[in-house]
Amino acid sequence: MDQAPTKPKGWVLPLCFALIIGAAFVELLFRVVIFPDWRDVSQANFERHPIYGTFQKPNMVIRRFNPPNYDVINRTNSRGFRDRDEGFDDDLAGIWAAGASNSYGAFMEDDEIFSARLQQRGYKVANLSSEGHRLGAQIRVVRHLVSQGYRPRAVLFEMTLNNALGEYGQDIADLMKPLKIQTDAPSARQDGTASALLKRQVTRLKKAARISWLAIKGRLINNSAFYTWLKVGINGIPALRDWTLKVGLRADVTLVDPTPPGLLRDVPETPNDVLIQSAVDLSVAVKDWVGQTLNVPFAIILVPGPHHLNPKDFSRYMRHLGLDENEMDATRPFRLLKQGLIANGVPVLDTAPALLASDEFLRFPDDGHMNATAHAIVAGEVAKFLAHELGLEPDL
Amino acid sequence: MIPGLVPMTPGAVSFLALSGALVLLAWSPWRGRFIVGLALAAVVMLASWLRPLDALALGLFLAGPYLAAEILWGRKDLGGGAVSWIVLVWQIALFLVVKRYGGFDLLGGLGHPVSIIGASYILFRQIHLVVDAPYIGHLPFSALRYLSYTSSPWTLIAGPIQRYDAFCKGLDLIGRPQTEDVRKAANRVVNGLIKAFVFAPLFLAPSSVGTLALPESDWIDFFIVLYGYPVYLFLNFSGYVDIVIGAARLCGFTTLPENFNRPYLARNPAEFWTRWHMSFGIWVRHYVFTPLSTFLIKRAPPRFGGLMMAITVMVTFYLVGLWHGPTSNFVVFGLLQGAGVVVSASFGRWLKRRVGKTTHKAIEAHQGLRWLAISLCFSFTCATFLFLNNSVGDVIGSLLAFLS
Repeated sequence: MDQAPTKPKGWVLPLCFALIIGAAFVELLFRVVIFPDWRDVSQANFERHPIYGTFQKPNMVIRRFNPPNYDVINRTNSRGFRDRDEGFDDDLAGIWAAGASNSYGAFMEDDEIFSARLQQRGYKVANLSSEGHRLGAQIRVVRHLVSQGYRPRAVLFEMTLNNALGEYGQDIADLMKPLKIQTDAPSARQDGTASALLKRQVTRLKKAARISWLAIKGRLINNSAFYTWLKVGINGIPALRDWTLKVGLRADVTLVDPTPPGLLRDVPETPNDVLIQSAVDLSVAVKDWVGQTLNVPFAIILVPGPHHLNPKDFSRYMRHLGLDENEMDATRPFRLLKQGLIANGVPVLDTAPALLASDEFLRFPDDGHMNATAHAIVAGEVAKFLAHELGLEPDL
Repeated sequence: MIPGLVPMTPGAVSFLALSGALVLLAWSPWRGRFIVGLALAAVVMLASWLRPLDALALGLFLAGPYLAAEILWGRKDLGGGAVSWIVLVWQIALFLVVKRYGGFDLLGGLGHPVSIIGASYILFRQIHLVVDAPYIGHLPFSALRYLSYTSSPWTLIAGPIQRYDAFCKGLDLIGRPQTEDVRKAANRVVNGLIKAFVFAPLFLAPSSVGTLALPESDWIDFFIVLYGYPVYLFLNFSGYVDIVIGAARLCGFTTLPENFNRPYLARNPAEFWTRWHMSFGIWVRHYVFTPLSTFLIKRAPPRFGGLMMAITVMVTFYLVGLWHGPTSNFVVFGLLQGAGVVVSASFGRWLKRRVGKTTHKAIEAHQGLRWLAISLCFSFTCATFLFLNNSVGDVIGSLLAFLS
């Protein structure tokens, strides 16, 4: 009688071991040979700030790397601003440029950002922007600097469509209250007692044990050269880049837009228009606050979104969503926001005509942020606006 | 440093890959050349840490003992002679300079241009080789073996400290282990990873004594601080040892010594050091305690034998403390441990004299008393470990603030 083969016992852990070793081999190959720049793709460049929320780390010098899009160095000063250290106090007596990622210029060299280009034109400009900020957080930055005694010549808020659209009711309400210190931010909080720390550690472990695809992706991009190469490095090889895009392994930047598609519908009114109205309300509130508190000019710099600037991309996006392009309008949110701001007496710089007239490629191949060309155009428009509309001549 | 390659520590992806490569080599028909692979792995691991100047310093650090071993190998007539002493003094001086000990901080003015990873453990092995080279001439010795022995990726960063004869025996055993042994070794690696990288970190942050100064800290916090760091240290260190012993055993290299034997079940501090970081304890006994006690006892009148032994213990533990780090907290740790060993040994002898051998044996066998001794020893160990994790000022200041 045949004897059944005995099944080896307890092979789960050895199998885990083999998988770990196999993965380690692949990972090491990518770290050392195939993609040694992997650590520069995703950098830990933020920390908690008790007033600003998330903000850049101070004294940061990091490389931002994403082939074939950009390979630049980001520097921050000792206070975390994307600005010079020596002379920053002088800059704070000039124009304040507030905004989010486009104004921060995450994928720009320091001297390519529009605020730095204004500086090159003789204006003293303090870049207050933060890559991870929404407008509410930038208002806190402005208010904090005012509370420290700094006084600008003017305050400019850059709004890039369609990221700038959102629900700002709470931010408007906060503007009427004393500046709040976010005591839940770890940097503002004492470490706590040993038992509190232990509880926190256990909670962190429990959270880490939860399976979340987003969290796994976040960990992989920070810790794996192989994953980072698949996600980013592969773009450095044109044939693979095209292939991954074609088969859908990589997100096509032209098919991404944070705007609810309803907002793009070419009709007089949509339910999503409240987002535009909220952005207008916030701008009005900030304008009033700046006027009352600082008595200096305030203006909004409106920057059109990628689909507004690239009609062909918008057509693809509409086809991707299965919508009829003829019933949609990529410029609608921008147009309505601009109209709302003007109607409420908020000075607006519309950068769209100059950007559209340039006939240049104004973003990165795989990222919708403004590239150096776009920053140069915006800087030119802002300089003209400062001189002609706000009556502010260069300081130098 | 190699671009893209972060410094390798056990548990790092690159370390696991390197271990995997060694396993494949050990299981392959080329296992006869394993020593070449091991030396190459040592170079890769070192290269992941060292900048060019560090590599130069390491070359200097490795050269002296190697040359001495070449000269002394199998030469019993040269044992304990001038060559050994000169190289030992030179090597220890180099170590003190590289590690920036007070009084030897010669490179401070240059902004500490060099740092050698694993220098302590390399030094332990070098001292063993230089001292014992005349008596182990029957073993093979070469530059490759020297590099692999002193800087093996398995034991470079934190041991265990292996004797050269066991290292050579381990090399002879390289090959594919029995299936059950493969399973056990792989189990050990995975368990080590879980201990060191999942559970150990839970206890590190809560064990900072500074938190006791907070007004809201209570006695629960006190016990978390007191016992947290020892738990962290054990999980981290023994987890690390599990990883490296498991990785070596997968290659058939079964002679890496164990480093822990339920250390927190020790009944007194002397026993603790036979269970905790055992390979270090054995090394210290061989190369510090035994020669020093022999030297002192030989020169002192017999009635001072106990005193000489106590002095030896205190000097040994002073050095143990200094080895853990050059700052005063480590010295305090060593002296407290030494005092613990002296006091517990004296108490044991006094008790034996007082109650007699039979009753003493009965006391030792008593389960309740045994557990009392274990808990006292554990608490004492934990109290001294406060100084491994915090400065003396922090410990005293925070405890005073807590008690006030």
